[in-house]
Amino acid sequence: MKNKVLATLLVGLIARVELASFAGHPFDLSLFAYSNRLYYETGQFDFLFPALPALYYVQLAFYSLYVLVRDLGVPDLIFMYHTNFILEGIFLRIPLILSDVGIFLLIFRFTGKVRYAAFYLLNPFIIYLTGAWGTYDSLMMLPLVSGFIWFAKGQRRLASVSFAISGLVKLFGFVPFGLLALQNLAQKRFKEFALQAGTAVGLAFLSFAPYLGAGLQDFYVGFVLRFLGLSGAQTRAYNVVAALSGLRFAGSSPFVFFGLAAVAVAFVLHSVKWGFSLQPLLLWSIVAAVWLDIFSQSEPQWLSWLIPMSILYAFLTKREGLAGYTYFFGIICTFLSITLLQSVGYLIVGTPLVFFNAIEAIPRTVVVYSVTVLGTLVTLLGYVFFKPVRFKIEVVALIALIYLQVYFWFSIMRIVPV
Amino acid sequence: MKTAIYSTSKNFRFGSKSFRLYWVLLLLVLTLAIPTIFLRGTLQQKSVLQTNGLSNFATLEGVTLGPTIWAESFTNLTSWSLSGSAPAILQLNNSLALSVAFASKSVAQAVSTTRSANLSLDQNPIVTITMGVTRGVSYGIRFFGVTPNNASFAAWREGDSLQHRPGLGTRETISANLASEFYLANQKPPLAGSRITKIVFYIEAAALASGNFAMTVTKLQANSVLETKATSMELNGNFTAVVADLGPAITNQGLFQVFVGLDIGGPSGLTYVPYLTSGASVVAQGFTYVTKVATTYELALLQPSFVSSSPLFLGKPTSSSLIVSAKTGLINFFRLDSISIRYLAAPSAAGQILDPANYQALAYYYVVFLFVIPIAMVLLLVKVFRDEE
Repeated sequence: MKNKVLATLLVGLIARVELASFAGHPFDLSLFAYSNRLYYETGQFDFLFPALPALYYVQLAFYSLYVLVRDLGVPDLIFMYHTNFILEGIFLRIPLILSDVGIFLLIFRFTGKVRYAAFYLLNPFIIYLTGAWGTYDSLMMLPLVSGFIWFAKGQRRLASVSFAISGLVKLFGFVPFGLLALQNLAQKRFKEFALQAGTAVGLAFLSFAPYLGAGLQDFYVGFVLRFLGLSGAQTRAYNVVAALSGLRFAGSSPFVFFGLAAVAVAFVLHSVKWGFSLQPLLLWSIVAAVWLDIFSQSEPQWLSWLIPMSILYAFLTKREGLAGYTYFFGIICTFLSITLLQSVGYLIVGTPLVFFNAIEAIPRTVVVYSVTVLGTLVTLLGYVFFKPVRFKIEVVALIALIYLQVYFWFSIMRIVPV
Repeated sequence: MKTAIYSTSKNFRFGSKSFRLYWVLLLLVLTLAIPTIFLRGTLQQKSVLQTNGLSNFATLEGVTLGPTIWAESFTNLTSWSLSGSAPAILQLNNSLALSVAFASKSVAQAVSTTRSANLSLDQNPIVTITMGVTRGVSYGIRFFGVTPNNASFAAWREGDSLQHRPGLGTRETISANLASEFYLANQKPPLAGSRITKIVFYIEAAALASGNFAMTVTKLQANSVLETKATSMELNGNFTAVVADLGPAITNQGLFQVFVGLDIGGPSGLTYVPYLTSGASVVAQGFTYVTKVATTYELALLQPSFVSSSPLFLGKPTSSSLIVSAKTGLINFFRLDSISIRYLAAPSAAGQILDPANYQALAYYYVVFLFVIPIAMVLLLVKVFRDEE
C-alpha cells in the first residue's frame, strides 16, 4: 500500500513539475508575476491584485523563496513567448502543487483507497490546471475538501473555518459554508450559527484589512461587486446560455441567484428528511457547482471543483461508477479546454498556436465547448442522482457522440447565428 | 477553565503526532513569513513599474455633436458616380439603393459608389451614416480630400473599423470623426484649410461568392462638434465622449495594464468604452461597461490586447489622453478619480529562440506528461493492483 501511495505521489509530482518547467498560461501568470514583482522589486503592495487577497498572501510567501534564490545570483530564463521566467513559474506553482498533494492525502486518509486519491492527483484536468496552466483552484479545494472531512468527523467548527478559508481564496467555498449555516439555523443551533458567522467575518476582515486603506470605493467595486458578479464590465462567458445567445456577461444572471436559492431550499428539505449528514452537504454543493458552470460566467477551471467533491460523494454513497466517471470527466474537460478555448500551443509556447487543425481551428469553438461540457455535466448529475451503476465504455461513446454532433451542427452547419 | 486547559494539553502532548504537525506548520509559516517581510523591495531585477497617470493631468473636456453642417438629400443622381467589376444599379429616392449582381469568380470583386463633398476639416465634422447591407458580402466607407496646396490625401486606413465590415442584413448607424480619420491614417493632424472632397461606399465579395446583394443608405450627414472644457476633473452636461488630456504622450513600450477609477452617470442603458491614446495611437482599450445600480463608481481595466476599435474623438496629437466614449446613450456626469499605468518589461528575444521544427516534439512531450503517464498509472492502479486494497 505504501509503495502504491509513493508511486502515485511521485508520478503526480513529476508530471506537474515537468509541465511547470516550460508551460504556463501567459496572461494569468503575467498578472501574478506582475503583482509579486511589484512587491519584491519596488516594495509596493498591489491593491489591484486580480484575485482575492488570500491568494496574494500565499503567493507572496512562496515567492519570497524565489527572491532568495535570485538574490543568491541564480539566473532565470524565459522560455519561448512566455511572460514569466521558468523558475519564477515553478515557485508560483509550489503552493498549488502542495495543495494537490494535500488533497490527495486527505482523500486517501478519508477513503482508504489509493485509486480514489489517484483519481484526483493523476486527473489530467487537475495536472493541467496546476502544472501547465498555473491557476489556483487547488488552493481553494484543499480547505474545501478538509472542510468536508472535518464535517464527516463531527468537527463542525473546524469545517466552517475550512469552508470560510476556501471561500476567501475562491468564493465557491462559501456555498458549503452557507449550507452549513442553514443547517445550524434549521437545527436551531443559534450559538453555533453566530460563532460560524463571526469566524467568517473575522477571517474576511483580516484578509481584506490591508486593502481597506487603499480606498473603500476600489474595495467595493474591485472586490465586492466584481466577485459577486455585479461588475459593470461586459466580459466574455463560457457558459452554454451565453454561447448560444451571443450575450456578453454583464453581471450575474438572475438564474444564478435563483439556482443557489433553490439549492439552499433543496438542501434543507433533504436534510430534514434524511438527516444532517455529509451526504446532503456534498450532494447540494455538487449541484451548486454544476449550476454555476451552466449559468454564471463560468471559467473553464471551475469545472475542477466537481472532481474532489464527486470522489468524496462516490465513496460516501458507494458509487464506484461516479468515481470512474470523474476521472473521465477530467480528461474530457482538459481536451475541450486545450483544443477549443486555447489551442494546443498556447500554454506550451506562450502564444496561440494550432497543431491539429481539424479539432482546433474550427468556427464557434466556444459553442462546441459549452454544449459538450453541458452534456458531461448532465451525465455527472445522472451518476450523482440515479442508482449507482458502474462506469462503462458506453459513456465514453456517448460523450464522444455529443461532441461530434455539436461539432457537426454548430461548427460545420452553423445552425445558430452567433 | 481548568478542564479546558487540561483538555488542550492532553491533545498537544509533546511527541504526539498532532503536536508535531502543529510545530511543522508553525515553522513553515515562519519560514515563509520572515523572508516575505524582510525581502520586500529587495529584488535587484527591475521589470515592473506603476505610475500615476494623473501626475501631468492638463484638461478635461466633454464632447458632443453640434448642429448639422451638411446633409445628403438623396435626390441628385449626378452628384454620385458608380464604378466596379460587376453589374450594378444605383437609385436615389430619398435614400440610396445600390444593387449588385456578383458572378462567381476566382478573385474578389467590388463595386463602389462615390459622392463628391466639400467638408472642411477645420470644422471638425462628424459624419453619421445610417445604412444596411445584405448578408454574404462586406462593405466599407472611405474618405478622400485635398490640402490647401491641392495635395490629395486619404482619410482612411486598412484595418480601421470602417473597412471590410460584414453585411449584417440589418440597419446600422455608423459615425466617423473625419479629422480623427485623417490623423489615424496619416499620423499627423490635418493642415488648416484641408477638406474632404470625396466619400466612397463599396461592396465587396470574396472569391467564389455570387448572387444579388444590396446596400441602402438612408442617412448621410455631417455635424460640427461642441466641446465643453472643465478646469477640474469633473463634468456635467450631455456628452458623447469625455476626453482627459493626461499631458505628454506616454510610451507604449511594455505597457501592461491601465486601471481607471471614474464616476459616471447617465440614463439607464448607457454603455461606454474607455480608451487610452498616445498621440494618434490607441494604446489600450477597456471592456464595454454598463452603468450599475449599486454605485456610479467604476474601476475600469484597459489593456493593449483589448484594442479592437478607435474612439470617435481623439485627444491632442502630442498628448496622452483618456477617452471615455459612450456607445449607447449620453454621459450626463463624469469625474476622473485615479489612473494607474502599469508597465511590465517585455521578455528578451533570446528567450524566444526555438526551432519551429521542434514545436511538434514539444507538443508530444506535453501530451505524454499531461495524458499518457497519468492515465497509464491510473489504469495500473485500477486494473492491476486493485486487489491489494
